[in-house]
Amino acid sequence: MNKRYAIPTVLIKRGPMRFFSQIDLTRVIERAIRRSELPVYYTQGFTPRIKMSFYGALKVGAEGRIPLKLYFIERIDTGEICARLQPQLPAGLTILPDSGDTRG
Amino acid sequence: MDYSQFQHPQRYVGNEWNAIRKSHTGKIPICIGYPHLYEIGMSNVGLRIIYGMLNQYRDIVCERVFLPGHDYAHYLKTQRKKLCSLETKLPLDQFQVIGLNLNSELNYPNVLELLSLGNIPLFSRERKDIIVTGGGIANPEPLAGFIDVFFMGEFEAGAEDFLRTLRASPRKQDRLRALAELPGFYIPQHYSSVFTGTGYRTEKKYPFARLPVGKRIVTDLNSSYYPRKWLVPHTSIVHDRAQIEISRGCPNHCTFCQARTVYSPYRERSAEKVLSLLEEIYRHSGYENFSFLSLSASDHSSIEELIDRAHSFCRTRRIGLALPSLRIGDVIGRLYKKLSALKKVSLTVAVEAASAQLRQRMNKHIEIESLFEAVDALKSLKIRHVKAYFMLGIPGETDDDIRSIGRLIHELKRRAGLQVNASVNIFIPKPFTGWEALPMPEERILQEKREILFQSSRGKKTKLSVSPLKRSLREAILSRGDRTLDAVIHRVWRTGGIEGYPGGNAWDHWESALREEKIDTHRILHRSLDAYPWSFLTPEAPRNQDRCHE
Ligand code: SF4
Repeated sequence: MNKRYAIPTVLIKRGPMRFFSQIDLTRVIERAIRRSELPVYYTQGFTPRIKMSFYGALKVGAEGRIPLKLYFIERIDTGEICARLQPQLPAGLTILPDSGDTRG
Repeated sequence: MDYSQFQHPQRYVGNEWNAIRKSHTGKIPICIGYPHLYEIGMSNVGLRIIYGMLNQYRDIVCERVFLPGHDYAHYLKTQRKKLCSLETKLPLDQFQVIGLNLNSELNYPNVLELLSLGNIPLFSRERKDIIVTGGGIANPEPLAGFIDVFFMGEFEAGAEDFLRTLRASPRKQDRLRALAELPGFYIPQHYSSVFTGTGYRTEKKYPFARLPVGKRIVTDLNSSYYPRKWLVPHTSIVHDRAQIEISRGCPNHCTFCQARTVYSPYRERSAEKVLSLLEEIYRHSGYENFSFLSLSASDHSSIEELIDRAHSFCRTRRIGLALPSLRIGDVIGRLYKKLSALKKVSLTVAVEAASAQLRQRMNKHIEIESLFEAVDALKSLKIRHVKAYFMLGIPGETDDDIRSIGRLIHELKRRAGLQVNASVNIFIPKPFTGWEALPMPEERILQEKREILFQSSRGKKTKLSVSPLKRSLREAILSRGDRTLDAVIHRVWRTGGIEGYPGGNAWDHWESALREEKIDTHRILHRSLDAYPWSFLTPEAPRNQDRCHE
């Protein structure tokens, strides 16, 4: 099994993206990661998926921030990951390193 | 606007990845659309081709619109607001051209709903500046009163001509007049269609109109436009994957088939080209699922190479790859080794008729028996169930032929261990098929046939779905109808017969509209004529361009 490195980030959902559900967001992040060609970690098994963990959810229509953990197979600086993902995200989504004070 | 007051607010945002937003200054604005909900319309590849292609031109801005959900439509009506394009939220009546892709006759009333929500006059004669174009259906006559220009064939091949005409003059009548002289642009108001008692006669009303109208086709799929910056919705749609067209048309000649004529001649995109599209579209979209698009993938001359190379590209990137239906013989024969590398292989077979004799008559050559001999191959491909398509009501079909559908499903279960999901369509003598002149069986007879089918497959743990009779009738009437149907479609729209809306597909809408308008459905469905409403059109490409299949 591949070694994996968890990267804590926080996702900010605003403007037009507030109409998208948590399931939609998973899809958006997954495709952004694929386009960014970052060395992402896939779940093992029959249907490998990009692993990510949201801590909490926002209602459709609501703006706000959600802590999101991403997983990679190489050790990469969180700042660099966010910098490479941000251009792949639609307007209304911002990804930032999680300083740790957003989660209870 | 707060879309969260509506169901599926994602439909209205218009911020898909790779959506194109341009300023409108100094450009000709065109809005293209599909007369059904977002999830369905966004699955249409034709629309994506046109969208990407038109936006390549500096002086054109092309945006999209789909039929909104019924709650949103209700909001627009009660608030007296207009339906807008997705990209810049411009009301539809501010565009110079509305281009509609019409893949299904059942959506005709939806066309009116879409135009009406956009504040666009419904009848062609009432519209001053906006041109409404349509394409994607074989017999446009029932919509003749509503549509200004029907594009015959493939828009890639006629786009330059169309745009040149738009640039030359801002006036609708000048534009129509100029288009009339070009092949592939059918302008119904320039022709008359009359029923003579034994058939239909279509004549030019003006000397400049073309007869035959002609059809435009792409000669080389390798150099023709295909979108690379694939529009990726942030929410799920019906066909939630990037689709790559590997061939167009079909080299086979099944008698009942309309698609092979409409998309004729048969052309292939080279493996090299398909692979480069796959790579580029992936790079631009990050889509986790891809599929190949083709009427008959087995016939592609490099299908083995295609599967091999696409699979190796997809495997390393964990991309799902779906193939369109392949011939059974190929799946368990020459392609078996290639397919076993794929994670999931689904087997879809268009059996059409369970009895070999009937298949012979349809010119449908498939090898059902080989399924029984290939149990091991099917097991290792992890195929547990098969989706099979059948047709009911085919000319010359006996009760025993119908029962053989049930028997075949049962046998597949017993001998090959396959669960069959059977989908049965009622035969419709579609325009431009070998059987267009055959009468459709009477409703009462179709009802009996359905009963026989259900009885013969009762208790066999089969998933059997048969298209509802009234729905098939509706489709048959609209696909075979003449110009008088515009009044029916208008009535149905007025009473709320919109596909995709609650209660929208009820037969009542149609029954009363057909009665009120005194439409002779017997003539449409059951009478053999010397010429049909569509007979003046020529969608069939010369036959010698087709490759015959063994
Ligand atoms: S294989 Fe037959 S039914 Fe299928 S597209 Fe070709 S001609 Fe039509």
